Amino acid sequence: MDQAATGNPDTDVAAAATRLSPAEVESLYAEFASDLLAFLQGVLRDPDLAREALQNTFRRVLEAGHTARVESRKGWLFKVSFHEAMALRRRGSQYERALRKYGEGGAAEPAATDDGSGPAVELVREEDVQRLRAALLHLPEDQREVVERRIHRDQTFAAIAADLGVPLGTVLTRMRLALQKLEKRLRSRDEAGR
Amino acid sequence: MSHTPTDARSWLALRYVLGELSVQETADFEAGLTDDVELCQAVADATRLVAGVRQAGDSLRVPSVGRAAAATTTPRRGVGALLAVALSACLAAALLSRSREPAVAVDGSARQLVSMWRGASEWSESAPRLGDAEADADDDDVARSDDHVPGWLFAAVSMEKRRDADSDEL
Repeated sequence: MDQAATGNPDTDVAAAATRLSPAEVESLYAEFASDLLAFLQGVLRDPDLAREALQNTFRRVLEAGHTARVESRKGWLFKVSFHEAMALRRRGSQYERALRKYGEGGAAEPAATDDGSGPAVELVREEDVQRLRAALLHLPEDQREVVERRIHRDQTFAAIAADLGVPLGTVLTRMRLALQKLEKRLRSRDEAGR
Repeated sequence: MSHTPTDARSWLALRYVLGELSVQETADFEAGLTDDVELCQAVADATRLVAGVRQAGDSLRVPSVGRAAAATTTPRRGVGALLAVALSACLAAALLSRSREPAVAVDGSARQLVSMWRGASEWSESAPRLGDAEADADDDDVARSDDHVPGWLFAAVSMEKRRDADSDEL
């Protein structure tokens, strides 16, 4: 997929000459970093690890971004970022295993520090939060309750069903209906912006 | 109600992001992430939606009773602790400074301490009371704002009086 340094000075110079320019990398970052960060956070469920994976991804862009076709760069970036996420996850598991081995419990890997090498990426825009806030207030009570319990109280769907004394399917349907409405509200912003 | 394939995909991505898929479902889903851009985008959208709803909901929520109680009891605890420290310091200073004075002066000092304690208790009673309903046993070990003089104060004063009486006899 990529052309790493070969040790051959002629080949390495040629590879360096074809690499993406800083301006091109910056442009890719501006276009895709927010989506990639959201994706990585969804996979890793840890904002610090997601940022670390994002940095690693763009390090790979600097090294090998030129090998991806322009029309498939988004796919290439998701692929690389997923690979980086899996690498971090494996490293985290190894770290936890090592900690357990030495009797220090299963603490998570210390959060990676943001070295500020890239511009800040906004995961959710303030105007989106405001739209969602308004949409939440307009949800039917039973749907809002499921959203509140699942997303704010971190109850599982099964626990919510047990608490409310309704079938699991009912809880899933309420959540799904609620999220469709919330998502629609977000999409209306995107469509209006076009 | 029918769901489009996009809805189904979004729903699956959302359950993945929320950690609601089984181990096998998660493995299958992640296998898809290696080469399906649309699925990756669905994960990004689901993550954003959950984060947005979380942020939006945080600002709508009423602070929990426990948190409100903590916020209101802390100042009282602070006042109580401050009073206890101040009175202990006064007591220590009084005991030190009166050790060379006649017994009658010790009595005066004791009365002064008792009166200081009562004054402080009255002040504490009249001070604005926040979250009375939440006042709990935790406050008892710091300082109580009721009217009686604590036993340790009497014990300290009577011990001091005994010591001075002994030194007078000598």
